[in-house]
Amino acid sequence: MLNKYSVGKYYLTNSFVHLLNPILKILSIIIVLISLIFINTYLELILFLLYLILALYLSKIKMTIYLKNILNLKIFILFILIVDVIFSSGIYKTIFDIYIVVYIVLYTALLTFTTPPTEITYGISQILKIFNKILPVEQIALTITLALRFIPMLMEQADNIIKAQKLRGIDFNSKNLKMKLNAISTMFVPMFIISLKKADMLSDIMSIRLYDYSKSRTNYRLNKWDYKSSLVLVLNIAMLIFAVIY
Amino acid sequence: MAIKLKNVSYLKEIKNMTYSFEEGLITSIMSTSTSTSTLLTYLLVGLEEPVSGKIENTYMQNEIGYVFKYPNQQFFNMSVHDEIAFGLKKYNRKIDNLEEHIKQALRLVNLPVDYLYKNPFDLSSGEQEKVALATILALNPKVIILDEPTIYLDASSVNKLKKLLLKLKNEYHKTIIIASNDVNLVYEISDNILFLKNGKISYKMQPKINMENIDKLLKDGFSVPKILEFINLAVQKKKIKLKYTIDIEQLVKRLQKYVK
Repeated sequence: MLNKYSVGKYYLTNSFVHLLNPILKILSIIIVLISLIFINTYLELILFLLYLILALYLSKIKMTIYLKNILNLKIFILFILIVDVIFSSGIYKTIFDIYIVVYIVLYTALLTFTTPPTEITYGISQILKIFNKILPVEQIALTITLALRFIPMLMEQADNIIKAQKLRGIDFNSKNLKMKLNAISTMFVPMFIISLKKADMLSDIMSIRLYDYSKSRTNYRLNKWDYKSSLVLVLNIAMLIFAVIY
Repeated sequence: MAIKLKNVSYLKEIKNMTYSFEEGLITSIMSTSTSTSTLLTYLLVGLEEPVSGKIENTYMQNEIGYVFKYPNQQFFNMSVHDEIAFGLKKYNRKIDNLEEHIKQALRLVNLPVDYLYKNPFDLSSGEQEKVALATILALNPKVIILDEPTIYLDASSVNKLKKLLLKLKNEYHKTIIIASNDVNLVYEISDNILFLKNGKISYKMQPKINMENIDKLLKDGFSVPKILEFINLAVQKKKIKLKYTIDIEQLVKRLQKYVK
């Protein structure tokens, strides 16, 4: 049943992108998203698009999976269109707005599709280590891991609860707003209680396995910083400089 | 009035299945993978739509009672009383003596009346299962579908459930469909058993004529009650003539002849 949800999903293929260092992938997202702000010509737009297509191609994941991800956004894109039409910002501005949204979604999808959740949290905690004296980095990393772990579990839970309530005669597809709110309210009680119980159980399991968040955790992957990673980082910084200057 | 499957397919789980569930009888679904039998029950109540094929279901939605595998997912009221009363109010059933009706439902599932004002989430899983069954029974449905009803129950509760299901069938003529891998429950009370493997119906049988097929069933990965395995071995290896029985006392009586 988990196959339905693509949130935080990981696709295993043997590709160049999969082998990159997770720290680099997160840095790359930050740099590219910042440079997107400075895009204002069609030349930059095409160059960035070529980079994106190259990156998606190198990940060896089917393009249809990425396209499905964009299709989920159709209402949001429609919203941008309507807003741009109302404020009559012109076709030039509209294209750039939609381009940036699609770009962000695809580029972050590239990260979550090619990196397991544990590696993402490893990357985040390594980057946050700069703030080691101000922030409890290990605990933040643990919280993020657990939150990611809970997403598919809660989705499945909600699915089951909706099924159970439907059979008890509660109409979730009602067009009457009051009825619909009533229906959703019947979901809250079991959802809260079951997820609290699951969290409780999870904490028990972790303490049985002697998990201690005050200690620094090691990673079983080597995650070496090789020349490929440096190459991508240099490319990204060059893109940023190009976007700012041009 | 009937539930019929006609060439129903659903992805890899169910392939081209045709069957009609007999009315007023207990039909059990045993499957090598539990998700398939759960999916089949979802299809029967209309929670999932088949990819191809048709399900003919002439019952109204409120005439079918479904007891979920995980009973705590359907509770949202703060007392057992409200939980049972909810369905009655939802379907606008006019009942003269509501309180007595609710108590009656609790008595049917062998829970004491003082459970009425307990919080359903404080109960044990077995008690929750019973409350879930009570909420369904209070509605007096014509068809009752149970998904793995015995996984949370202790041995004495399972025996009481067996008696209750038989009573529902014999006295109230309900159609009962059970998806379960609890062999003792299935073989003791069912009239028909469906064996599903790889999304297809491998066998449809009545438990009584199973004797010749026990070897086939075991080979295909289905479980059979220990008592039947014993009779099967006795017949094959020791050439003792024994007839089908699921009752241990009867078996002992029949075996007395052979004991010196």
